[in-house]
Amino acid sequence: MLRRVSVFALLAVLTVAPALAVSATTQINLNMPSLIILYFRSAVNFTVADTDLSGAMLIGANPNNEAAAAIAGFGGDAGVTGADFSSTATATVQNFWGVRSFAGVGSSTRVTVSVSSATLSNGASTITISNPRTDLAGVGTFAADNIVFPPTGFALQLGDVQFDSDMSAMTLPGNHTGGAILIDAVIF
Amino acid sequence: MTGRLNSQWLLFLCLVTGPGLLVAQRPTQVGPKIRLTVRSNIQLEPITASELMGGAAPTVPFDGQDPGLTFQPLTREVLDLWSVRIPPSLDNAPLLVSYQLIANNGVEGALSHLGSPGSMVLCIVNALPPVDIGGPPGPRILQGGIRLEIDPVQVDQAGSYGGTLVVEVTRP
Repeated sequence: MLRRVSVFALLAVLTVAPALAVSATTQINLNMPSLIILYFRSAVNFTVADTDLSGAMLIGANPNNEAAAAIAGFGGDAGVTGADFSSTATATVQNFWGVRSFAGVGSSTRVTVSVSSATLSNGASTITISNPRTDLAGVGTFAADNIVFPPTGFALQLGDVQFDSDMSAMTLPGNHTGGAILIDAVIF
Repeated sequence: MTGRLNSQWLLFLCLVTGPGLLVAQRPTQVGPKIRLTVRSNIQLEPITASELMGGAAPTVPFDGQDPGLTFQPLTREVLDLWSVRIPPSLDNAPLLVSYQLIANNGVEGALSHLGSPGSMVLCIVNALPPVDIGGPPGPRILQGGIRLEIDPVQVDQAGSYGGTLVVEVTRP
């Protein structure tokens, strides 16, 4: 009897299929490209205030007050000298550009600014822009026309731009248009 | 008496050593039953910059504020990832196929940069319906694949990303 029970147990093992599992592994690789996304201001408007041309208004140490006094009182000649007159102004545009960049280990990102159209016109009256400089947002040294920084990944790096404007040929007030600054961003 | 001892020994052998046979390397086989073959060294089609940008140009006007960045869904399919040869005796048995993706840096559900392990591509593995590519008079052969949903949000390096995919076929 005991022998018969043992045989039944063995048959049960052979006829009830056990759960089966097979597994295998494989290596998967994916290449991500270098990428740079450049954000830019498509239009920048700036207004030249009289204080930007303060040299032109300089009469002594405090130009506005003394000029007003002189005009009100017709108190005499205003002593304007050539050295006091300034026909140039410096414009600083914050967050002029933004860059997201990712690249291989050891790579860098460079943003360069240049003037692609130097003349802003209002009829025959012109303003000339020149000497563009750039820096990372908020740094403010503006030492060169380009700035180099590590890849940002998908974070946004903002940058400021500064340039000079020469208004010595400006003969009319009003809107002067047509100037353009080129922004070039590369990974190297 | 002798017959009883042999029976007990065989029962013990089946219960204890059975699970030890379940995991094997590619290609692998469990007894005479199911044979699993998996493609080796899968190189996915590279992600392109245009894909990441959703086809938009990489130069974008803005107002000086961060406009944010929304990625388009990125997918890659591996259609012929694995095949299973099923003997006629198991032809109607249900099979469960499961996947586990482990980045080279050990993180599950991702691929990691080969030179900068902290940079990862998150991936969700979705199974594609298997295709029957064999049949009588030969054994039934099923072939299957995956669709990877790729999220590059944690990527900060270009280059090659890798990981190991484990494919497991189970007959419950």
